Amino acid sequence: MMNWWKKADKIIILACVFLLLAGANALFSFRDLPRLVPMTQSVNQLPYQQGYPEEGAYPGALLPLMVSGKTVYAKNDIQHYEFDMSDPIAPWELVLPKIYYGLNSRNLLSVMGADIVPDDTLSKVLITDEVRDRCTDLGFSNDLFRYSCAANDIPEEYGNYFHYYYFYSVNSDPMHIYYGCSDPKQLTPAGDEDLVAIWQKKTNGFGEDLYLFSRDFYDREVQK
Amino acid sequence: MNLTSLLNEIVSQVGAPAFVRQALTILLLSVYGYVLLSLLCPSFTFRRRMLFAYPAGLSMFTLTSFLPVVLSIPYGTATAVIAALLALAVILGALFVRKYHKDPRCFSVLYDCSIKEAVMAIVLLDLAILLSCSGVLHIALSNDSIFNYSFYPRLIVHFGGLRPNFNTFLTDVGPGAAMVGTLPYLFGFQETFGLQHMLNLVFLAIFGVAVYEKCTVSGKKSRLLFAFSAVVLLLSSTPYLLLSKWILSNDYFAVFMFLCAYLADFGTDESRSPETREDTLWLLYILLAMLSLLRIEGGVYVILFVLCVSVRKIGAKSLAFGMLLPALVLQSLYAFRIFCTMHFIAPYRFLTEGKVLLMLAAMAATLLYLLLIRGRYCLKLQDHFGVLIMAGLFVLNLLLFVKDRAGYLENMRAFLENILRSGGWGIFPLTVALLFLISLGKRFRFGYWDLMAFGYFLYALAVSFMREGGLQAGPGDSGNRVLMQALPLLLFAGIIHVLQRFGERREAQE
Repeated sequence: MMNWWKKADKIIILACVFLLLAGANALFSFRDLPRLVPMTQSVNQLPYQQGYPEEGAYPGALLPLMVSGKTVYAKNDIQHYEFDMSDPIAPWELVLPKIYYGLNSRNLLSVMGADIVPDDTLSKVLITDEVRDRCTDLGFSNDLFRYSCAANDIPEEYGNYFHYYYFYSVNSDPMHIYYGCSDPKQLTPAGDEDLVAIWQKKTNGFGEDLYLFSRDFYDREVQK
Repeated sequence: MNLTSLLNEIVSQVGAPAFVRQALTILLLSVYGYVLLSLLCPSFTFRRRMLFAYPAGLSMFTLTSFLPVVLSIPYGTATAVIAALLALAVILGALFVRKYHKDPRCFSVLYDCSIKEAVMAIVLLDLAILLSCSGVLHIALSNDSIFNYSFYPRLIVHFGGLRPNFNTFLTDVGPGAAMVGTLPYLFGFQETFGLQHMLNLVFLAIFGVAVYEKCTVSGKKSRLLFAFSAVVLLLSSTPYLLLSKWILSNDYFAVFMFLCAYLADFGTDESRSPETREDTLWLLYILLAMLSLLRIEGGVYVILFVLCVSVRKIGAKSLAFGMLLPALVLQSLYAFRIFCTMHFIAPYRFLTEGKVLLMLAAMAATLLYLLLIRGRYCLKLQDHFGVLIMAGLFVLNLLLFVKDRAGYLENMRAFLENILRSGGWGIFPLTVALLFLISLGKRFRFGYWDLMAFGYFLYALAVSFMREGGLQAGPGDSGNRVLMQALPLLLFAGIIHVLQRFGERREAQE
């Protein structure tokens, strides 16, 4: 036995041991990986993964493809406020809806490639439950709005995404992105129709949802 | 209208172009890296240049695109391309002046390969690119993937640079990782998954080559089988699969950390020719500069890395001016840009003015040590510098323990919980422990790779402690992922010991 061991190519034996260990590791990997973190194959070349985890992961990742290069009409209800930054309460006054939803969201779509046109006629529009039910739900996107502060022009950004976290994630209900169109092509990079973006307070709950419509859908279904 | 029809429509419009653009981007980065290595490292074999082409190209792109961003030059596709080409032109010019008169053939190395080799290399490269971009390989996404490494780079490209409103993106996200993330928005595809997969494929090949080179006994086939089995072992391990598929900066950092450790080992191996060693160190300088930018704490790691490499036979100037100084300059530029030219208030951030000053001071002190003390004073102590590094890291951890016992113990509890149960480590710790156990014997020595692996581990424990909140149990905790970055080093250290125990070896000076 010892002679065999001395003569044997130990490297081959070690390689076999490594392969056995690899087999054991692989068994544990197959068992454990799916429960550690959801994995998916991104054959669609998109960061948006439908059904990942349950309602679609990160629907905001689809927004650039839907709005880029298009004219998007939005509410014109932004109000500007001056804050005394020496006041420690000042940053928390960002809770004011006109800043969170209006400015954050408008600038966010702008970063995603949309040409935003503020429209006074949209400022008092109300999306009914009936209209919402005719839209498609992309999923909730609280995180996207949480990070939208980075697209703002507020001098001395005095919040950050952890600060916004409490507003968008801890205090808010799921904030959905809904879309409505006559033809899916209207919300794709090849579509050149104008779009309408409306942010609306939730009927039940705390927060706002984003509605994205093609212009013809909006004229037909919302602004009847 | 349902979501599926919208997605199908989008994919039909952008899927194929995105695939082609990402594949072409990886190809161009590889070609760029190949040309760079042909100029900078002419002693490299064709295979070696092909192997390191993509990491070198990606690193050089990151470094050259980082500079305009941090110098407030408007950033976009044109700037990125011009900066990369300018860097190549500068290197070409410097080489022309320095080398041409000595050896006009130095530029012919560009095409110094047989037709068969060239065809094989192009086929393998293309297959790797196709596989990486195909979407067949799995990915894992989390909040940080989408916002830190996709949304933030999109903002950089949209606004043409950095802004105070980027807020904690500036202090929490490694600028190098952010620059890699800008590639989709510069060149018209949607995500970086293919870029990361390509890096992983190249890394696995290099890992295999590294094992093959260390295995100096037996015939070629046995060595190939052994190297293959080592790669399969790494590939099968739970933490590697987790890290390599999770779209974050941890995978990039783990890969580049191993590549730098390997190049430092290779470049200080006295059995190699002086030309090969010099050329290897040039590549190391570039990859180490890249490594320093990949995570926000990257500059701190470079200090540890340089000190670990200093136990080898390598000149102080290489360590100081080649490895440490570029990282010091890059970190200084970034710190100046975000803390001196911008004003932002963030209730929580990882990088603060205090931490950055401490880091820069430590880098400067290390620079002075390398230039003024190393090799000149306390030579007997320096002979055991590896021991001193480990002792220093132990003492650092001890001081942190004394400072906050409850916090440190909580960290250790979470660390053990992660390693043994819920952190995604699988049976990898047992595997590595087994490799070390079977290697125990008279020839067992604590060597360079142990210093790299275990030194990093102690460093990572300390760095995690300095983060507010400490280590948490769970695979997603950033402290756990930072620890996982050591796994290629740990496995390689174990493999080295196994080879030392069961075979004769040709050892580099430790």
